[in-house]
Amino acid sequence: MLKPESMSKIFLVGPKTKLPAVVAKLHELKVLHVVDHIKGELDIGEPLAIAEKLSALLVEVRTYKSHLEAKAKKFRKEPLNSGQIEARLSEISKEYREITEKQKAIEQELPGIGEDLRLLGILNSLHLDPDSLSGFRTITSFVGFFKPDQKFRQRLDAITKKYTIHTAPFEAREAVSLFVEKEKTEEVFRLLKGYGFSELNLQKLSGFKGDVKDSIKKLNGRIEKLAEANENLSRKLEKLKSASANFLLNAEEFLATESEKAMAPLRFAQTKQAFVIKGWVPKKKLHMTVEEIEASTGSKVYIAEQEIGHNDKVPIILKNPVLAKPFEFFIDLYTLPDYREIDPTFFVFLWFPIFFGYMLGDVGYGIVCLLLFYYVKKKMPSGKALINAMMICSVSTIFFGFLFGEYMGYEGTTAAIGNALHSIGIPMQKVVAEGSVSYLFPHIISRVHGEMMVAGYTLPSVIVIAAILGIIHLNFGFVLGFFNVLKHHGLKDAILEKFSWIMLEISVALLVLGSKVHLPSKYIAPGLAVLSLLMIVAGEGVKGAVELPGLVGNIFSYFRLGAIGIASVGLAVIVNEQLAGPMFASGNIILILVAMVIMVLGHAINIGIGILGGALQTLRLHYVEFFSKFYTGGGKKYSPFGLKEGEEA
Amino acid sequence: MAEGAWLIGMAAALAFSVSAACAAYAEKFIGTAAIGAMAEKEELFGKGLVLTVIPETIVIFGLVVAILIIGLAAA
Repeated sequence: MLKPESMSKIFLVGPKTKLPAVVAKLHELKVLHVVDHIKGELDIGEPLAIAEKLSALLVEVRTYKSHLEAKAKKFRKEPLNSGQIEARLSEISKEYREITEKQKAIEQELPGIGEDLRLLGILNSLHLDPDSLSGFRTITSFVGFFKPDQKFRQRLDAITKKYTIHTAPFEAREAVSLFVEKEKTEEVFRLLKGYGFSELNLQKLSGFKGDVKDSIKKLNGRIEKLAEANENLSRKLEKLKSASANFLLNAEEFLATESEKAMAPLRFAQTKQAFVIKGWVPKKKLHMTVEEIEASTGSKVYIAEQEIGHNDKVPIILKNPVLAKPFEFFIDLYTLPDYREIDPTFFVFLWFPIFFGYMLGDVGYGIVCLLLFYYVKKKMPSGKALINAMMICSVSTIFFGFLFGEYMGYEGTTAAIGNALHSIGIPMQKVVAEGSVSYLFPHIISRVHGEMMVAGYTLPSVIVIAAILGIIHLNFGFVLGFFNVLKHHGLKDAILEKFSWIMLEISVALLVLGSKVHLPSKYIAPGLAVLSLLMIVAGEGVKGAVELPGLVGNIFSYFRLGAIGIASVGLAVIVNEQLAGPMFASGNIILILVAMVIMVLGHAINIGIGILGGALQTLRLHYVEFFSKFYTGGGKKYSPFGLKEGEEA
Repeated sequence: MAEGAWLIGMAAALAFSVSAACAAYAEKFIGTAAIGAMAEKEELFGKGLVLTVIPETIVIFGLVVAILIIGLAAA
């Protein structure tokens, strides 16, 4: 709490022969945050000898993983080694290639058959057989598409009388076969050209003999056979996919891990004979790490702890009690603390739910949020930290709901219900307005009606309280800043830079209150103000003076706590009383149903806005107003060697 | 509060809505840039959020002024 986990800076030196063992051990332990070596006096290490082979295998496994669509999220773990992987992979690749080659052959054959079928279909419609078109000595045949009209026949008659012509409709066009005597071939051809004749290439059909219908039947049979074969191949492929998925996923994981290990020396330093590894280990795991490595290398590796230097970038592990832990999410989102400064997680845990609850503040909404987040948590375990934090906020919303006496936007209820509640001991507040009786739920502050007089102005109480919360929050930040500066730069700087601001606030408060407080001398308040201003300028220079108006802005910024609260309850009241209320009162069954829909939708929208707005505004108050008083951040996350993405350290 | 009430209401509404519109206008540019930066480097979300919401204080000032105007009316 308040401080990140203590870390130890260590280095390991050993003979290169022990490097694979050390790497394997470190990978297994998952404790060492390796500091990448930068080439200087010492060279960068070389990958282990096996690295190249592993990478090649990994590429191949990934290729087949994508070909065979192996993408199950969870898979059965199987122990493997690279030899097994190689053998199994070659089996898979052989089978895969066999299947795909056959599929390709089928794919290439099918269009050809389709073409032949079409040509045969044309011949069939003209009642011609494929082998009846050639081999004549005195006759030429033309088969193709064009539209012969009366004039064509006359002109053909003019050329020769020795011809036969057939036409048949085919695919919305006119298929024509024309046999003429050979001597007139050229003249007829010219005539045909004038009619836009497109001749069919029947050369392709030279292989077909006999009846055209038989040929068509034969080809259709072939297509069926190919389709069947294709289906068989698809089934085979599916089988291969399901049979190899688990292996491929396993192999990928194994190879990725192994090649990470094999590549690890690139992050280390080396000499001809030795290697040097530098890194960070959590202090409490140092002893265990040293023992484990010594055990696995027969004490051939020298491990030493170094003092942490002032400029060392120490990796950060946040350390907080269970309840505050989820709020580390918000720190991680912004920036992790520096190793030497206060970890603000615990304070975010204290303040965040208060602000959130203050804004949403409704018993009903709190319960809905709690159930909603519980449900989301079951569905999305990955967002656990955020959801847990939001569940704590929901509980706070319920608490503030009781404080404000708000239940799904209702602040009160009718005489009948109120009486009943009163009789079972709930201290309902009776209100008599214009002769009608109603009851208000017990509350300490009313968000809609509560008002306060401040310096002659009537302001909503929630806004005044928000400002007070803000002032406490900001000064909390100044106090934390005081301790941060105290630790780094000493008491004088801490007083000048941080305490001066608190002094300034006190003096301004005294000046505003003026005659209401009795001070020994009337010069105390202005004197204090001037002194604190001088201290700020001395501590932070001109920057501090420029930031002076910012402080007022900071405090005003907390008004949003009240403002958003009023907006939230305002929307709920509109849904309840302006939209749904009159419909319920009408007694019409349809209107009552509509009113119910309006209630559900309206409150759902309001809760949605409330969660989003509430969380974001609270976050902003922390990041902008609170953190700027003490927090620098910039810490690097601890990510030990061997830890996979998404795994907890 | 008699016949001038609507003027006071308008004044408060203007104070609030114009400042909100201005804040939105300012946030537009920062938000765009922040998203751009995030596309390059995802960890910048926190910083981007902070920068994006800075102009929001303008709305709060608008709110304060609106409350003061209504307070004046009551006086």
